[in-house]
Amino acid sequence: MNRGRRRSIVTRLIAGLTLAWVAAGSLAADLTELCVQVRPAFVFIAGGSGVIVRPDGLMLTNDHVIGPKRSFTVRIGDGRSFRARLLGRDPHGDLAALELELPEGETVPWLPLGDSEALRVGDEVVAVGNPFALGVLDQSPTFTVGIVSALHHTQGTYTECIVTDAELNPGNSGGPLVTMAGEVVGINGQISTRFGLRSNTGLGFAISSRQVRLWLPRLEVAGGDEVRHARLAGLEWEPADRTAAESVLVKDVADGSPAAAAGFRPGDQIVSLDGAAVVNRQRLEGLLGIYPDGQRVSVAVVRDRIEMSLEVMLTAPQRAKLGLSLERARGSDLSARVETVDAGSAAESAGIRPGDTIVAWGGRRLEFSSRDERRAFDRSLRTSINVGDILLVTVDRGGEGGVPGEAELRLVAK
Amino acid sequence: MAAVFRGRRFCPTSILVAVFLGSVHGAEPPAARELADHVLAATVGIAAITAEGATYSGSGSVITPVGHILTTTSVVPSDATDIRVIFPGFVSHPARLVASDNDLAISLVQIAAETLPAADSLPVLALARELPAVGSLAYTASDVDGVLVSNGRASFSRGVVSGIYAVVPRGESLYRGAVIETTAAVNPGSDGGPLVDASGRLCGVVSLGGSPLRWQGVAIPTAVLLDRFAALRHATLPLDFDPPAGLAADKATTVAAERAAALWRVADGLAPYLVGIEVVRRFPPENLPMRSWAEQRAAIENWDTLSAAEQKQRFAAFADLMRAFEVNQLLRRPAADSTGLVVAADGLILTSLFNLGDDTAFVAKATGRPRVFDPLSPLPKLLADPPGGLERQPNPVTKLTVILPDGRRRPATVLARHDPLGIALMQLELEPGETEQLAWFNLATAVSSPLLGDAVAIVGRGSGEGAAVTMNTGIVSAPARMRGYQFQTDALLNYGNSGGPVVDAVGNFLGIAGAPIEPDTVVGRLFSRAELMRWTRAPNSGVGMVARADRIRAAFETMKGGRSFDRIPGPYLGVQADTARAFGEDVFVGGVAGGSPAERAGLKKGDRLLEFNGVELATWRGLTERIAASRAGDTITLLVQRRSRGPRLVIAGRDIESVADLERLKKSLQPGESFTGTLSTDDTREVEILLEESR
Repeated sequence: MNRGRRRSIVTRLIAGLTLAWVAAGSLAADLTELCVQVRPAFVFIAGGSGVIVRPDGLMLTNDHVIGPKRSFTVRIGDGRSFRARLLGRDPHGDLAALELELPEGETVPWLPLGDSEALRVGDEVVAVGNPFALGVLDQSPTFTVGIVSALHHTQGTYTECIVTDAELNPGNSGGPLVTMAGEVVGINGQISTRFGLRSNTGLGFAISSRQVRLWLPRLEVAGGDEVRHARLAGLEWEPADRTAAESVLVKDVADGSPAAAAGFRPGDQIVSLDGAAVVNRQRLEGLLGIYPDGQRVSVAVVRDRIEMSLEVMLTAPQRAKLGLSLERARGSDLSARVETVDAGSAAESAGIRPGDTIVAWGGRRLEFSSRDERRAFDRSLRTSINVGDILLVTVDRGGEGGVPGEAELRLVAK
Repeated sequence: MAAVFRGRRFCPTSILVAVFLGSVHGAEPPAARELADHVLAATVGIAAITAEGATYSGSGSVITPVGHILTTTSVVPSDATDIRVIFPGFVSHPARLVASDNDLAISLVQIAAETLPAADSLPVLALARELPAVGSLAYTASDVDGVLVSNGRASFSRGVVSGIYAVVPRGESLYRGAVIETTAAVNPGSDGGPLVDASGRLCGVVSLGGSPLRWQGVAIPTAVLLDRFAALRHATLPLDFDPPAGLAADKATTVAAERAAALWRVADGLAPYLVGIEVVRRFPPENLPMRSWAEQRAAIENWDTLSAAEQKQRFAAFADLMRAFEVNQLLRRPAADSTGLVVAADGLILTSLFNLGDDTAFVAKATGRPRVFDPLSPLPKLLADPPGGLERQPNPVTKLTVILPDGRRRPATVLARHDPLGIALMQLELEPGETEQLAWFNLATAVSSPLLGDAVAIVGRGSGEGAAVTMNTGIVSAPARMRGYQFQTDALLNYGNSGGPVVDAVGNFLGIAGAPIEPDTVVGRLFSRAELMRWTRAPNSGVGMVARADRIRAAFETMKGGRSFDRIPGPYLGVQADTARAFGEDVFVGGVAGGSPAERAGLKKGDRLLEFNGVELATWRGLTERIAASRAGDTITLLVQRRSRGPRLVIAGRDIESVADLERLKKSLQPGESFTGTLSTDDTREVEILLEESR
C-alpha cells in the first residue's frame, strides 16, 4: 500500500482514539477558529482592506487606501455590502476612520482593539487582508501568520509602529493585525521592498492600536476632514545621537510656548512620556509622532534629582512670522543681509538688526552656491518655521579693523 | 467522525507521533518571546569601510564574553580598515578584524577590551556543533534599515529550517559547502547576522548570496565553521556550546515546533516520489553577472588614476547595479531543476504548468539573441534598449528531462495541461528493458477541502547532488480561489518548489504548488525601479496558489487520456468581472472574451447585468454560481443595462454602435434570415445567450 495512504489511515485512527485528549486551547484548531471568527469583521474597500471596530459600523483603514474620496461602497467579510462615509483622516499617520451606513436596527460584526503595549517580540500575530485583490470576487480575505519582529519602530512616517514577518503585500493595506485572541493590535500599512519590487520581503509595518486609540475620538468627529498631527512646541532638546542615554536633556524653552506653560526648564531630563520610557531623542521624537492636535500628555522629568510630572498640550505646528526681510541677492553676492526688521517681532526680540548679515542659521553656516539656494533659504524662513521653534542665529555686524563682528543670537519664533 | 477529526488534527496526533518516534526536541523549546530577548541581546549591527572608501554594513553575532563577533566578508571584507559595531541599547564601539576567510566568506572581529562592560555581562550566543534538524524552528535577527541605531534592538523573525544542501560560489560569496536554508526573514542588512536554532544556539551565519532557485535566506553552518574556520577551530576562544538555560517554554512555540516537525516527517516521506525536471528552452536562462567588488575593481581600467571621489562614486554605482541585478534575477527562471511528483508506476509525473510554460524573451533586433549585460556599463545604459531595439519573442520549451531519485536521467513528454488548475502531466520514457515499477504517490489518497488556517508545507526537491528534500511551512490563507480550483497559502513558493506536493501535518495531500511569479518570467531585459513597482507577484511573496487535490483527482483520468483544459470545464459564457466595482450589489462586466457566447451576443465592457433568467443578480459570485448550475447548451436570458447617451440602434437583439458591431451581426445571421431593428431609448434589454461547453 502506498506509504502516504497508510500513514494517513494510521494518523486518523490515532486522532480518533485521542479525541479525549484534545485540550480546549489546541492552537491549530484555534487558528482556524480565529480566522473564522475574525473574517466577518473584515472590510473590502477600494484597492485595499479595512476592519470594523464597533458594532455600529465604525471602521478603520489606511488613508492611502481611500485617497481623496469620501464615500465608498464596501463589502464586509460576511458578504453584506454597505455604503461607507469618511468620518476623518490623518494623511501623515496614514489612518482613516469611516462609518458604515447601516439600515435601522442592523449591526455588523466587529473586532475589539487590543493593547499593543502588551505585545512582545516573538508573539504570534495574524494579518488579514486582500493582497493582489485576490479576495474580491470570491469575497474571502487572505490570512497570513507570523510573529512580532520589532516594536516602537520608525519607518518613513510611521513612528512607534509594529514590525512583523507575517507576509504583507499590496492590498493588505488598511487591514488588521490581530493577536491569537482576536484583538486588533495594528493596522497594516507598509512593507519594506527591494529595489521597488512591491512584494513581501519579510518586513511589514503596522500602525499600533495605541496610536489608533489616540486618534479615533478625533477622527470620529472630524466631519470628513483632516485631523493634524501635533508636536511639542517650544522645547529644544539635545540634538546629538546620544548612545547609552537614558533620557533626553532639555536645552532651551521658548517663552510663551506650551512647553513654557507646562513648566519645562532648561536642564530638565525627560525620562518618560505618557508612561513610555524616553531612552533617547529618537524615541522621544517617535513617541511625539503619534499624537493628534490638542492632546494633553504627561511628561516625567528629573530636575535637580527630583522626578516630577508635567502636563503639556501638544499642538499642531503653526507657521510663524519672523518679522524680518532679506535684501535681494546682488550680482555674485548671495549673502543673506537683513533689510528690515518689524517692530515687536520675533526677529527684533532676538536682537537682529537691519544691516546684519546672517552667517549661520540653526547651527549651520550658510554658504549659498547659487541663487536658487539663496531663494530656497528665503522660502524656508517664510514656510518652515513654526511658533515655538528656537533657533540659534549668528549674524555678522562687520567689525572694525578687520576683526569679524559676529554675534550669536537666540530667536524664538512666535 | 471525519468532521470532528477535521478540527482537531495537529495537536493530539503530532504529540502522539512524537512520542512513538521519539521526540525530536527532547525538552520543550524556549518560547519565542524568551528567545527574542536572548538573541537580540547578542545581535549587533556592523559598518565597515575599506581604504578606498567602499562601505559595507550588516549584522553580526556576539560569541564570546570578551567581544568577539562573527559575521561575513560581505559585511567586513578582509581589507576593511574601519569597523564599527552597533550594540543593542544605542551603544557603538570600534572593532578590529581578528581573522577573515574569503573561501568561507566569514570574518571575525573583536571590540577593544577597554570598551567591554563589567566582566561576564556581555550577552553572547552559544554555538551549535551540529547541523539543526530540517523542519525545526529557526530564527533570524537582523539590523535591517538601521533598526539598531533608531530602535536599539535588531529585528527578529521566525521560520523553519527548510532544507540543508550544498551550494557553489555565486555572486559575492565564494563559499562552497553545506548551507542551512530558512523561511525566517532575511533581508539586506541581515547579512552576517545569526541563524538561531530552536534551542537558542547560533547554528549559522546568514549570507545573502543564497540560491537563485529558491531566493530564501541561507546560513553558513557553525558546524562547518567550527571545522574549517581557523580562528574557531583552534579553540582558543572562550566559546560557549551549551544551549541557554532558564528560558521558559510556552504553548504557542511548543505547538509550532511540533507542527513543523510533523510536517517535516510527512515531507521527508515523499522523497521517493519527487523528481527533478530539467527544462531546455529556446533561449537559455540568464545569470546576471553579479560579482564581488574586488572583481569589479580589478576589471576597471585606470582605477588607480581615479580620484578618491570618483572611486567612491564607482563603488556606489556598483552597489546600485548589483541591487538592480539581484531583483531582476528574481524575475528569471534559474538554470536548475524544478520539482515533480511521480503519480503512477509507469512514470506519470505531475508538476506545475509554470515549470513547463513559455517565457518571454526580449531579443536584440541587431543580433537575434538576448543581449549580454556587462557589469562595467552604467545602469541607465543597461536599462535602455540596445542599439537597434528589442523584439519580444516567445521562449518555448524545446527539451524535457526528468531526474529520478536514483539519479537516472530520462526524457519526458507533456501529456496534458490544465490551465485553471495550473498543472501539467508528463509521461516519462524509460529505456527499453527498464520495466521496473517506479515508486509512485497514489492520488487516490488525496483529501479535499483544505481548511482555513491549517498548517501546510510545500515540499520541494533541491537541485544538484543529493537533491535533498526541502519544505516551506505556512497556513491555508484562503481555502478556495479560482472558482475552487486552487487554494492559497502563505508558505513561501518559489522556483525551487513550484510543482511540488503540498501536504498537511497528518499526511494528507492537498495539492500541487503553482506559479511563483506573475506575470511570466523574462529573459533579455532589465526592469527599472519604476517598472518593478508595477510588477504583480515575486517568488516568496507569501501569496502562493496551489492546485487543489480534489480537482486534480477529478481531472486526472481525463488528463491521462491526453486531454488538456484551457478553461474551467462546464458551461461557458465569456464575461470577466470588473473588480474595481465588485463591492456593491451590482454586477459590472469588466471584459468580454474573444469568440465567446457573450461577445457574439453583443455584451460589452461596462454593461451592468441586472438579472439572470429573471432572478436579480447582486454579486459576481452569484453570477458564476448560476452559470455553473446551468449546462452547456442551455439558453439563458440576461437583463442587461447599458447607459447610453441617447437613442440607440438595436438590430436583431444587439446594440449596433460601430462598424465592427455591424460586421459581427452580419456574421451571425444566415442568408434569407429576416430580422428586425429598433431605435431604442430604453437602456435595459433582455439578451438571450446560448451557453457553450468550455474548451
